[in-house]
Amino acid sequence: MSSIGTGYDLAAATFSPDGRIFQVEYAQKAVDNSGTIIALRGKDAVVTAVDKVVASKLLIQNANPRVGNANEYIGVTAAGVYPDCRSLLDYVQGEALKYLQEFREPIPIKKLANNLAEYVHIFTLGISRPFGASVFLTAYDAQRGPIVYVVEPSGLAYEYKAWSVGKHRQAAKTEIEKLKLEDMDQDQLIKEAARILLTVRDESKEKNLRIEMGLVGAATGGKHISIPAEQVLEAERWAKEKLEEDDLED
Amino acid sequence: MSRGSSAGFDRHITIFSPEGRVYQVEYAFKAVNSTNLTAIGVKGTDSAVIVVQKRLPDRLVVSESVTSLYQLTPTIGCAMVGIIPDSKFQVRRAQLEAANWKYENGYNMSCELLSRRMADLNQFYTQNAEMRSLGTTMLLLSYDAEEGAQIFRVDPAGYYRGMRGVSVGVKQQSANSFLEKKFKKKTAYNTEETVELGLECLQTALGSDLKATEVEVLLVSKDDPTVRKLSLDEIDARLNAIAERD
Repeated sequence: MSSIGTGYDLAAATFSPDGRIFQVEYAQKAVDNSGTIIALRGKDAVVTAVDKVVASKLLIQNANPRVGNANEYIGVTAAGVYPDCRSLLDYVQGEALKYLQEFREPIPIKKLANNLAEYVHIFTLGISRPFGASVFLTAYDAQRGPIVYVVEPSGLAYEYKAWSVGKHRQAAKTEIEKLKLEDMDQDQLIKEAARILLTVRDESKEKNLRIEMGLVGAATGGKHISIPAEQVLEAERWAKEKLEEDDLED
Repeated sequence: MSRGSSAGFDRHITIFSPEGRVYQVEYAFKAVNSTNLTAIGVKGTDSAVIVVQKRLPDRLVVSESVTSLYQLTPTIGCAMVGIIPDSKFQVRRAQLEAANWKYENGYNMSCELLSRRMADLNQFYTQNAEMRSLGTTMLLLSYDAEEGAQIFRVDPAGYYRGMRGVSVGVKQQSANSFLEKKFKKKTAYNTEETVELGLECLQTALGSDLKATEVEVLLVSKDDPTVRKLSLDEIDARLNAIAERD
């Protein structure tokens, strides 16, 4: 089976002879080529971490953030084509606000994830091009605990215990599976997230990278925040020390 | 295979080829097999059952968020085989159609009417270029007060039929042969036998025994016309009954 669609890949309205929709697969490739993003669900918190490329030294700190909020309680971390990510962030913010106005309570994350999935899916039907973005939705609920949903360019959405997308997603996934996430608290998650991103980085090929992180959990009162730069740098320092220790051991 | 002369777009949009085929719809059927799952629907004397494989795409995925079974109304359920986001889209549309019918007409939409409506929508996609057909086949089930147990199959071409036994997905050939053999000998099954027939059919088609966690079962019967999913224990009980028979 060929992995390029020659002729059948011009519109999302076209199936290939073996039943694939290449435009959607190409949108997925846009995400696969973007900076690595991981989400880790622990005992009572969820941490997301993004390995961003800083395009220019002239940009202010944390310009073009990839971690945002749909509302106070639901975090949005997005990978892929940045303008598409912004568009989806606007969408979830709008949906959360509409729900709040209608029902007078914050939107449940499951509902928001499904709304987003349906919205993203409509763009795979052929009227328009698919979104080249994968979105992580994260929340902490007193009853259900920490929750992670990921919505892909095809409109597929699942709830995850942890997940990774982007350039080094395979290597990141291997690292994630080595951890016992259910027992980890917030601080451990933040440190491990930094360590995983630093481990899977390809130092020779990628320069000017910066880690951005999001956090929601019992300790934040169920509210999602973008982790302050100093805390992220501290986690990176810890991670670098740990990696050097491990190198020495080998 | 000789190709008729064509401008070349007959494979790209929903128009006729010179031989009178609509290639895009045929390709949509191929997409139904893309998830490599199989679903079986069987009707007994007073009950209807759909059995579908459950496979977790990755062990990091939360199991409860993966399902092929959906409830369209309190008394109509369905299984979807094919592209998952397309499935969810169709389920939402079916739920909307049924709810709208109830609102406009004051009585519940029957399984047959809902199947016909979904089939007509699928036909619409095959006759318009802007939107593609959905890569999914629907199996609907219901217990109708007048007609009894019902199973309907709706495919991407816009074709729909009530079925006594049906299978959809990668293993549909072998599953259908199994069902044909069984129904030739006997057509009267009670509820437990109907569930076992569905499970046995899936096991035979897959060529291996199933665990309760690898399958989902949707059931509706005269005694309980509300559509419900069987619990893991109930599925285990039926699988054990099959194993003990052999």
